[in-house]
Amino acid sequence: MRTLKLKLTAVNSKVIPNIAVDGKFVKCKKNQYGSYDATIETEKDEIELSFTRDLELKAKLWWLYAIISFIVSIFGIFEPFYDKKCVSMNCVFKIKLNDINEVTAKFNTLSSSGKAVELETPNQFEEVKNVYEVDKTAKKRWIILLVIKIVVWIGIGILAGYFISKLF
Amino acid sequence: MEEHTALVSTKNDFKNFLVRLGKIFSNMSILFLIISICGLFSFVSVAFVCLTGVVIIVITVGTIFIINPNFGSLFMSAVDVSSKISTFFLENFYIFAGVTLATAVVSLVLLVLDRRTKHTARIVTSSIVIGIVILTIIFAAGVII
Repeated sequence: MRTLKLKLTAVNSKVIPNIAVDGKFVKCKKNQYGSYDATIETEKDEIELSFTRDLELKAKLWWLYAIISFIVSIFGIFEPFYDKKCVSMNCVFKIKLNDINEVTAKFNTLSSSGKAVELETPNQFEEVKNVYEVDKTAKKRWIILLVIKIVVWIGIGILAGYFISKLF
Repeated sequence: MEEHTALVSTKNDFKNFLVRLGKIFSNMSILFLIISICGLFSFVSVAFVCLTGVVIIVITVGTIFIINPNFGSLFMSAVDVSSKISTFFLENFYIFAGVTLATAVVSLVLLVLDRRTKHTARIVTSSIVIGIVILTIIFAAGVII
């Protein structure tokens, strides 16, 4: 049995990664210094460590959630904004394991391009992918939502004007 | 301020949606609380309009009726409009207060259940809103009834 001690630093509310080891999600706990720790046990000699970032507009039923949110929030008045930048994090590392392994992942500031994570470990590792990139699907959906909202708002404005003019 | 005690990886988009709903209800509860409180104290605006009219009459020693012959009807219509608004809010006070309470409670439940992120600020705000609206309902029960 091999043990991997994973440490995540520079995690903030804008960068909340999903951590997976060989496709299985891992839970990290916050320590007293503000970083996050996880201990992973495996029989394998090599693992695939990946970090991804959730985007609300990448959900399967995003359109349904968006419609319900829009209606419940009284046509978007009380709705929090969707992430405008739509930056996704795609990081995949292949790490060769020894008996005891320590890996520290430092997350860079969220940006529309560039390296997402700085990995520090004495182990041998291969960086398959490590980028922040604008998710085109999410961005397209964000624009579609904005256009629909503007059309609905104009429609509501016209209807409101019509009914108010009928009152007086 | 959103704080994370643990990073729970999840692909459950529905949970993100519930958090979004929680934030929407939290925003709504704040506005409805303001409407409830303003509605409850809207009689003050009627009193203010009346007081302003009386002060104008006293200061001008009644000559305001000569300077502006329409002052009487203008003053009465102002009192009428403000009393209508006040009556509307007072009559529907319990509806506004009920909506405030319901939205605050729902938002509190949805945000507390989020294991991924700690929504400290919003949870505290919703708790305060619940406290204030309960006090307002108790106060209104004494005033209105």
